[in-house]
Amino acid sequence: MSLIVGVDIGNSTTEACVAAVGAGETAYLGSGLAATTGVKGTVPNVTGAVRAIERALRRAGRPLEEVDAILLNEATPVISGLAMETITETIITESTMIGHNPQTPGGEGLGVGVTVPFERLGTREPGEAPAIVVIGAVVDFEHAAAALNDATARGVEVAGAIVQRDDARLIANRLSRPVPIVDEVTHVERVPLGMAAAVEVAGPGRAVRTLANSYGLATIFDLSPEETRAVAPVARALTGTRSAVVVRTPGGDVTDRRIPAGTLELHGARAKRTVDVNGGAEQIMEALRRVQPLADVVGEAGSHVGGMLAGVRETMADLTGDPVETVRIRDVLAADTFVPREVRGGLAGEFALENAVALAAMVRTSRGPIEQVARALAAETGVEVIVGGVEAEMAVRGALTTPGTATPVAVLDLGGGSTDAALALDGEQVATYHAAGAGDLVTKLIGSELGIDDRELAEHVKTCPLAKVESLFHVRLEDGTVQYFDAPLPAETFARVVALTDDGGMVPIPTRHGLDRIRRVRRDAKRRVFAVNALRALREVAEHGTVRGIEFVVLIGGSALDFEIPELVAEALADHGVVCGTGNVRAVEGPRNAVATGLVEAWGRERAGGRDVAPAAEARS
Amino acid sequence: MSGPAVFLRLAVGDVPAAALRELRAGLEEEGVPCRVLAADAPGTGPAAASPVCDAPALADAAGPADAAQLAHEAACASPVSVGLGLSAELACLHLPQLPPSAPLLSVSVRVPEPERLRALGHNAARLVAGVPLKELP
Repeated sequence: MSLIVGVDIGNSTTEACVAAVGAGETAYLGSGLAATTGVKGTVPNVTGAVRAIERALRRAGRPLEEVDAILLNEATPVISGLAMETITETIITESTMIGHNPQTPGGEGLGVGVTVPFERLGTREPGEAPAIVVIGAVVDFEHAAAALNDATARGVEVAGAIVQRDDARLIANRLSRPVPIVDEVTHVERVPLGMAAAVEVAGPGRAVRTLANSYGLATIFDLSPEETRAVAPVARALTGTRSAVVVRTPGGDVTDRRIPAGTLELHGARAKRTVDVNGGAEQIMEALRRVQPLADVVGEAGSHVGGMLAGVRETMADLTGDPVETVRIRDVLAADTFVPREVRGGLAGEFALENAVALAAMVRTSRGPIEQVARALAAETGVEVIVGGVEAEMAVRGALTTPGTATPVAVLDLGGGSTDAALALDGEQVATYHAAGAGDLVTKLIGSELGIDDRELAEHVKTCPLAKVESLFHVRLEDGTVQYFDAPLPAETFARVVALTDDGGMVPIPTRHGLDRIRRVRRDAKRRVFAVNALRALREVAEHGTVRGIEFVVLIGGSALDFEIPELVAEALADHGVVCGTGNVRAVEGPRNAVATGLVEAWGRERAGGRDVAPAAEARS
Repeated sequence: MSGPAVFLRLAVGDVPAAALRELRAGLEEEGVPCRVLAADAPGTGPAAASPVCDAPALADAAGPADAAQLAHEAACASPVSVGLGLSAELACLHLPQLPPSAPLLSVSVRVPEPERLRALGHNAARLVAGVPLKELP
């Protein structure tokens, strides 16, 4: 009997398993995992590897001294990078509109007049144009209401108010003649004075109608057809808000600009195609399909996408130590997305949704210094380290320990940086494909679409089910069921959507989006990355590009642990008549430990029966 | 009895009128009614007629000076189960399910901090309305 440890260094996780291998039989004793230290395939990996080995040995109850050999996989030399660029931009060239949803606007209806500072209301004469009063934070609500009532009593017409503090209802409740009031206008000092303006507040549960209608604006401000065309973006930006202000300034304008994003040049082995990034993800992916296999991707110099790809290349060069000219992008995944951006020139911190394209790029590195890692690991542990086996083959071998599987089998490794497919036909060759885009891209899409800057929070939204805190003692879960608590929940979670972490914690998601919307964004992001990539990668490895010939698809890797990604992938493959499910390596490990297990399996068979296994790798990518 | 309202109980003696005004303004801005109660008569205090934070009866307020205790009693009496307590030292926001000595939020009244008191009023209302709470500035 020999005591063997299989070690798999992945992009984010290092896994190990301990087995006693004897004549024709292998007994697995324990497994462990640790975070990968350093870039996969480099000497700093040793720290994480030792940690994973120690954990596996502790579980097996065996000391390091008894280990006969450590098996290390030949890591797939691919790493991936991400970039995102907005392709539209909304700019208000001269402040002309405020469209936002303060929690509590005051009054109701539409008021049209001229902007007047609160301080000058007292000197306004009856018969002048109706006043839209602009009230700063220094003015108390009682004082404000008294002054408005006073003006009304003198015969000065007051049509509406724009208030800096959260005071709209307090003022409206005290008026003798109620007018629409918009509050929480942060930059009230930027409201142009003496200009024609309109304030609209919709009833509860409704949205503004006049100001969100181009012809409504044309009617109020007496606009020519040409001018109406110019204000159309204003109307569009105000759609769906409960309250809004539009101030007409000479030359004021909202533009809805399309940033020239540039073109992508896709160099295939046989063909070359140029595609405009503004065309969106679908066109990019269509062009990519036509040039496969991909040799490199270049972005138009001086354009957004050029900068994006240059950035990816530089990061990759930094990580691998390869010169930047030799970095080749071997796969890209484009996804359409949108980014909430604060409108330039806005007055109340308004956001506009800008279109964006996210790109994941995969870079093939020169065959890494895995021998160096092996030597360093041997020095650290005092155990012989054997480098053996191509990662994809080992993954297939490990995945095949899942009960109920048989060849021909495809293994989909759903990772952080890439989605990898390996196909094993009966016995012989293994075809592999590495598709750019995986868990990290999902996190990025979720973060940008919900306007979450905090990566850790976006990660929580990705990996945890949601709940709405309905009272301090109960939450409603995604499926509509209710969970009660004896102790009060933290006050900051009240009425928020929270992510329920594995350890029973609740992380509030500080956006105004409802639970359904967050859930939809989360599932769409996963679908756009994993469902798309699963099909793409399987087509590349399948014979004649048809997924139908594959009988079993086994999902492994960190993202296969996700609570819904496997189901979304299975859904995408449902039409193709394959059995698809999450792997259960050695019937106990779930989707983890496939490569480490595969290494031990291969070593055991080689010892037992010589060379019947070790299929030749045929990498088609 | 009038309709649903957040109850606000006052301590005996000197309760800062400015603090009371801010608490009630916060509730009013959120559109949630509030009834001000005498300290010794939970649920039966001076009948506040208006649905929106009507006039308090400061004069006959009586009872313990502990704002948390007052807030808890108010919460227990309130048909919407949210209570505020105000003494010369402290303003507290309470729920019936919490231990009386541990209010959900409290704000000191000794130093005039109108913004924080206003936010406490907002939060009392938001607990009723089911809207995320404001951070106390």
